[in-house]
Amino acid sequence: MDGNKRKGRSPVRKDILVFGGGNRAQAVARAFTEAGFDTQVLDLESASSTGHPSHVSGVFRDYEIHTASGGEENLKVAGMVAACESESRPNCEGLGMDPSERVLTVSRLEDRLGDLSPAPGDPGARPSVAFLLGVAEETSVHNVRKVLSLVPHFLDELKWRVVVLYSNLKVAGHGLEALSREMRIIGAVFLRYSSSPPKFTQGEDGRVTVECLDEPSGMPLVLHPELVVLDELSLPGGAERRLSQMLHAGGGPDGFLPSDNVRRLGHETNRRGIQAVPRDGDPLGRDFLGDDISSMMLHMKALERIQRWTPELAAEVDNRLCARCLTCIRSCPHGAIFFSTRIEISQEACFGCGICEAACPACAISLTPRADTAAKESSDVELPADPRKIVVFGCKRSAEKAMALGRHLGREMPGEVTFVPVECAGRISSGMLLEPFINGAAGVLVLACHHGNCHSEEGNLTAKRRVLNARRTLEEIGIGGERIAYHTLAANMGVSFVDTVRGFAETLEGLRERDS
Amino acid sequence: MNTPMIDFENAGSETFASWECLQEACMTCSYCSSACPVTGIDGFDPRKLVRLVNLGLEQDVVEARWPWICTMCGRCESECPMQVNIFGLVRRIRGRRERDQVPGILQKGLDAALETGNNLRLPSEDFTFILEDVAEELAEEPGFSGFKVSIDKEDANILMTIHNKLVNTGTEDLVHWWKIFHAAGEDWTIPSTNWEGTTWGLFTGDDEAVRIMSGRIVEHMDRLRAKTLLWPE
Repeated sequence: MDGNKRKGRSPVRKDILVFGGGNRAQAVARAFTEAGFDTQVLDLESASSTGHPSHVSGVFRDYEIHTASGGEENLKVAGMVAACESESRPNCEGLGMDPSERVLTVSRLEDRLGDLSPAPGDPGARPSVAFLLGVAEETSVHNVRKVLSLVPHFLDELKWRVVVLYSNLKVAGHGLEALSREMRIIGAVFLRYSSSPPKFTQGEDGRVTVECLDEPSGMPLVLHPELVVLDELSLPGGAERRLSQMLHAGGGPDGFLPSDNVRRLGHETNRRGIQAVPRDGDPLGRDFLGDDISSMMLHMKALERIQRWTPELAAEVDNRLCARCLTCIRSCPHGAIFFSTRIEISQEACFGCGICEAACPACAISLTPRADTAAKESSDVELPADPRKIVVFGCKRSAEKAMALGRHLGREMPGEVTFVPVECAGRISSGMLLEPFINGAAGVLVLACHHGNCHSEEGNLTAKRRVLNARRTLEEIGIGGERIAYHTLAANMGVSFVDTVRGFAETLEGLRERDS
Repeated sequence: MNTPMIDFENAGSETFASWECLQEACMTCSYCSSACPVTGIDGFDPRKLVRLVNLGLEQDVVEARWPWICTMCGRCESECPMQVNIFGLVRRIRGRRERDQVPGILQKGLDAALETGNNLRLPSEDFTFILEDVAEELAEEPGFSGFKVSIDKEDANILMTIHNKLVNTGTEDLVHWWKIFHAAGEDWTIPSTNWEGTTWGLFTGDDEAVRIMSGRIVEHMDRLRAKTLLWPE
């Protein structure tokens, strides 16, 4: 692979480069070293010894890290792991109270546990502590574990009353369900709200009054807790945000891994061979660094050995047609396209999403079966020559699976629908959206993955943009913008798939009646 | 309920907390509410009751009408995924009430049973008369000639208790068992005193009353040396 043509001193070669300046980076590096990987750690915040990296070029197995000064030796690595420390903030935005002596975050409470005194023996009113779990914003299992682990101290040692306020308890972690049950049994009161969130009023002294509805009994409940304990949101730190931008992996305000990343394994990024340790607060519940490291290591080993990629397609460019406009490079979410004197597409880095193919104004790129795979068929998206009434484009990762599920569930699909599966909704070009109308279709529906869940970063948003443009075109030529629609779906939404297609069919039927 | 608002810090009954009915394990899933045949009557719902016990609102719960709406059928408990002993909770709550506050007929019947041996305050001679009268009628039916009711017989195989209803408004139901006994040639008997098979202490949450009533039947078994107890309640 040759994505980098810069000249310089011969680079130092390593297997794995670990980014990060804290315990997480050290733990990752230690584990990889012990597993036989030649590993180096680079702390971007204090990268003086190695020089500050300016950019990264190349692809998996052959990444090159360039230093800003140019004086230092470049570093060549097979893969990279981002193990930045996350930042946390108290999860209380919009609740009408601020951290104070009586409103502590879980971390601060852990430091101050020794200062709290037991309740007097008097059997009258007992002081109480109110733990908030995901009241302001959704919380993580990491927080649930932290909070529940503190409960016994309050009940057994301090003889306080304990209430846990939540709307959605995340117990999908190791042993968490058992732990939550145990905490109930030893006396913590779990207060779940569904429709009416609790109201917090903070007095002059910082003390909080909590009013809420106890839903099981249907009675209003008022708390005067001695202490309110806030869970913490785990956010990408500045280092993580800068690094993800430099690596073109993720790169948004969410850092490497969007907050509810369900598009791929919790540590994979959109660039092959670049992985990121999930933050503590990953809502998917990956609060075990050890598990994450093992998983990342398996992934790296698998990548090393892999001979045949899935999908068995990769973008290929015909340089005789290429106009050197570089649109493909900008559009590729996987860092797979390079330019020297002509466009080169790395087979190692390509995910086969087809986004470049749709973006190329010269039609110079096509998805083709990889040389070493069994796939023989053409990978062109086949538009029906004689489309029935409705053409539905759907991402193979979500809509195609949802369609199969909808059929399996016995939901009746409207007739006259032609389904066209695509690798990514981003592969649907503007031409593809309009061509069915030339052939007599009544409508075109695009079904993409939910926003934030695209395997190729923003293929779904790209599709949405093209749909909006195409609608405008249809509007202008006078056949009605409603004839093109865009919806998002997940693979498990079989019923929604059918309902969406039916709804679209009804819209078209309405147009037909109106125009006839 | 009397209290318009739950005052969390001032609730938390120690008595409730000491009960080992697993009420704390309640996930408020509502399986009990769906199973309960009286859910909805006067706003009752077993889940609410368990919740208020869990929150420790002792006074409210003990003074409420809810625990007395429950028929104690136990369907709630058989559905509960957390094995909360709801039946036990209801009994314990009822037991926390002053006895003169126990609703009408329950305490009246129980007092009568404790004082006279049966809920009806029926004297022994009247009881015996009713049994013999019904037995005479049975003896006139074909196949039952010579039938006699066996009272206070020693060394019988079966000793049987009587529900007070059977010597009050439902005497025709006495003969079903008797017919079977007769056809089977069974050796059986009924005590002439303390024959009451029901124990309303079960419903009023009065463990002591249950102990006394059960003790009386045990005494019969010893005194009459019966081999088997038939206690149809």
